[in-house]
Amino acid sequence: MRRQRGLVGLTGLAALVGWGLVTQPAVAQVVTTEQSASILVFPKVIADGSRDTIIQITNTSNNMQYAHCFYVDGAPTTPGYPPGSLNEPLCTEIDFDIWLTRQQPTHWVVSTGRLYNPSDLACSGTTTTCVKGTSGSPAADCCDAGFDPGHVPPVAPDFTGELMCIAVDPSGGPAFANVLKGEATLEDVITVPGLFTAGDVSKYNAIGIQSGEYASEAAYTDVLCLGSNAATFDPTLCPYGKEYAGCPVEWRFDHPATGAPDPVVQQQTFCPSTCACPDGGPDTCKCNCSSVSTNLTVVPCTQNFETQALTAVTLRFEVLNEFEQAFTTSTSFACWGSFDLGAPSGSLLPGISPWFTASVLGSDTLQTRISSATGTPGGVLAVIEETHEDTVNSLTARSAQNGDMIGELNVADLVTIPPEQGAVNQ
Amino acid sequence: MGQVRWAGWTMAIATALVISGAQARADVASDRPAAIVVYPKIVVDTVNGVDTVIRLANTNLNNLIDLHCFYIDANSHCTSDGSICKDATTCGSGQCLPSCVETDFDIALTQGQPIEWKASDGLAGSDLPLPYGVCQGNPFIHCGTGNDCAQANAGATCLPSNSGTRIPPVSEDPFQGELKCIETNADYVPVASNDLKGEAILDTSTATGLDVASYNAIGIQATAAAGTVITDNPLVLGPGSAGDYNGCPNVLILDNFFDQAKDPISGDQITTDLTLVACSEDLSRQVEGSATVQYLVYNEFEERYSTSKAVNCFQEIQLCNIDTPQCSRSIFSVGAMGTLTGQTRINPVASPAAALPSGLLGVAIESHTPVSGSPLSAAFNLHFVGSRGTADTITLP
Repeated sequence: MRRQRGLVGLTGLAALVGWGLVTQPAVAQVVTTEQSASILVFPKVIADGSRDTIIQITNTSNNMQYAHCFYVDGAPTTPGYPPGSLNEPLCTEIDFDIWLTRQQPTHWVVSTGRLYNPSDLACSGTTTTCVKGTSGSPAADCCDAGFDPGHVPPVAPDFTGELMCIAVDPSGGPAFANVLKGEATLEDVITVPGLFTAGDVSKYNAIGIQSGEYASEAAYTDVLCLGSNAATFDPTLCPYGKEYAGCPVEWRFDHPATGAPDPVVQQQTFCPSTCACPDGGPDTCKCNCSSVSTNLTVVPCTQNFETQALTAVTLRFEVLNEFEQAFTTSTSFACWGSFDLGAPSGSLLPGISPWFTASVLGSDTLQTRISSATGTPGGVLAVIEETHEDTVNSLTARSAQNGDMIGELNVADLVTIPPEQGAVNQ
Repeated sequence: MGQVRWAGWTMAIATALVISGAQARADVASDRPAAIVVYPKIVVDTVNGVDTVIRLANTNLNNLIDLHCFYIDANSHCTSDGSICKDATTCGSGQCLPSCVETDFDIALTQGQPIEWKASDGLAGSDLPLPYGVCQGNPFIHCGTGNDCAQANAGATCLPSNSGTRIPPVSEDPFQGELKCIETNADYVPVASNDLKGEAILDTSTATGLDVASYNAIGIQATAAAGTVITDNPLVLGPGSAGDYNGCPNVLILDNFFDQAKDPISGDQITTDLTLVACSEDLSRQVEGSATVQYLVYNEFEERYSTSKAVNCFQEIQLCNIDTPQCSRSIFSVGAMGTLTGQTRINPVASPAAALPSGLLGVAIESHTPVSGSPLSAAFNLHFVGSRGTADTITLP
C-alpha cells in the first residue's frame, strides 16, 4: 500500500511534469523570414525625403488579429553629422495599434501613415488612383481602399529606423499566435545621379519571431522573453520562461565586396573592353564601368520601449573570400545601426572596415558571418541591401536581401513594453 | 508487481516527455543552409541586357563539398523551326510547345567558399577562384591528390581547390528556367549535409536603365545525420521529415499588390510575376512534375476569391494572366478587387492523372513601371505553410 501510494505520487509527479510543460510549444519556434510569426521586425524603414517605405502586413489566420506596433527612430541625434558614439541615435519610439480581420492584408506608406476613415470604399471604377499623402481624406481613393487597420500615424521627418509589430489579444496582452507576415518595400523618391533613381524599389521580408502556443493568460507580462535557455531568464521578469524563439546565434550573408564590378553591366556594349590602367602605365586594364556596395542594417533583439534605454551591441564579423581566406573585424552600435560595409568614399553612412572592399580582399564575392560578441546583452536582427552603380551612365539600382540564420542564442533577450500599453488585466 | 510498477513509471515518464518534447520543424527554408538549393527563376536575354548572377556558398568551414547541379531549360519552342517562343503567334503555322530539358554539371567548393557566376557565361578554367590544387609543401606544384605532392617531394597534402568544376553557360539565349544544386560526396552521391546557401540577382542593364532584383535560393534540408550518404534514387522529399529531405510546403503565401495598382509613393504601375517550379522532377527520364494550383485571393475587405491553373515543371506568369488573358477582368487586378494589396494563398493539388504529381516552390518579382521608362523591380521569397502529406521525388540521371 505504501509502495502503491509512492507509485501513485511519483506517477502523478511525472504527469505534472508533463502537464506543466504542456505550456511549452509542441513545435519548435524559430526566427524566420518565410513563416508566419507572433512578432514582426522590419529592421530597415526609411522615410527621409530621399527614400520612403511601404509596409505590408497580413493576418494569415481565420480569426481577427490585433497587433501593437512600435516605430523606433534610429536617426542621429544631430542630423547632418555622422552617427556614432558622439552622435547616438534618437531611439525614440512611437506606438500604435492595428487590427486585421481574418486573412486580411493591409499596407501603408511610412511617411504618410494610413489615417482612419470609416467611410473608405473600394477603388473607384477602373481609374485606381492613389496619390501619396491623401490617406484619410476623401481624395484617398485607392490609397485607403479596404478596411483600415487602425490609425497608423506618419513618422517624424527624416525617419530612419525600425518597425516592430507584436501580436496581441483585444486586451493588449501578448497573443502568442504565429499569424502575422509582412514585407517592406524601400523606394527612392528622388533622382540624384549615382545615388538615387526615383521609383527604384527593393523589398525584403519582415523577420518573424515565433512564439510558443501558450494558452495561459497568466503569461501576460510587460516583458516578452526571447531565448532558448530558460535558465538564463530572470524569474522576476520571465516567470513563465521562454515565450518566443531566441534570436539567431549567427547571420550569414553572401554579398559582393565593396567596389566589385557588376558583371552584367561590365558585359554591355557601352562598357569598353579595355581602358588605361589607373597607374597610368602603358598596359591596358579591364574597364571599371560599374561598382557594387552593400549596406547592413541591424537592430538589437533586446529592446526596452518603457525606459527607451539604448541597447549597445558589439558585432563580430568573419569575412570569407573566394580564396578560402578568412578575416575578422568588429563594430558596435546602439538601438539601430546602418553601415556601408566597405565605406566607399562619399558614403553617407558609417562603414565597418576596408576588409570588405574588393581591392583589399582581392575577391568580388564574400560570405560574411555576423554575431554579437561575447558579453553583448543579446542577439541582433539584420537585413542587407546592395547598391549597383553603372558609372558610365550614372545609374543606380538596389536590391534588399534577407540573410540566413544559424542556431538560437542561449541567452535571454527581453522586449519590454510600457505597462500602460500592456494587458489591461495584469 | 514490480513489472507493473515499472511499466506505470515508464508510461508516465514517456507521456511526460512526449508531451513536453518540442518537435523539430520539417520545412523547406530560404533562410537556413540546406542540402539542396533551388533557384526557381534564372533568366538570360543578353540582347536586352538581361542576365542572372548566381551566388553559391559553402557554409561549412571545415570541409570541401561537392555539388551536382541541374539547369532546367523551360523555354518553349516552335514546332515549325525550333525557335524560342512565348506563344504560337510567333510560330507561323507551327505550335509553341513548352519543354523542360535538364543540363547537369558538377561544382567543388572549398571550406567557407562563396562563388558567383553569370548564367550566360558559366564559370570554368582560370576564371575559377581556385582552379587547381597546389601542394602545401610547394605551392608552385599543381596537384589532384596528396599522392601527387608526395611524388614531387612537396609534402603529403594537396590543398583544396575548385578542381573538377566546370559550370557551363545556360543552354540557350534567351533562357528562362530553374537551377537546382544537390550536395554530394566526392563520388557525386547525395549526402545529408546542410551546407549550401545561395542567392540569384536578376540584373537588367542598358544604356538608359539599370534594374536589380534578388532573392534567396530555396533550401531543402536533409533529414539524416550530417554526412550520411543517401543511396535512394529517386531522392525522397517528405512527407514532413520522413524522407531523405524535408517535404515541400503545403501552401505558399504571396502578399501582392494587385496588378495595375498605382504605387502609393511614385504613382508607377505595379505588376507581379509569379514563378513556380515543381518539387518533383524525374531528371533521368525528363518527366515533368505537375500540379493543379488552387489560388485563394483575399483583398483588404476580407473578400475572398479563388481560381486555379495547372503547372507543369515551370511556370512564370503575371498574376493577372492566371485566370484570364484580359488583365482588367482578373481577380488579381486592382480594378476588379478594389484594393491595392491582397494575400494570395497558393495550394498545389496533385492531379491523380498526372505522371508525376508534385508540390511547388516559387518566388515573386514585383515590377514598378513609370509612365516613361523601363520597369524597376524587386524580388522576394514567398512564405511557406506546413508540409505536404505526400512525398515528392527527384530522380537523378
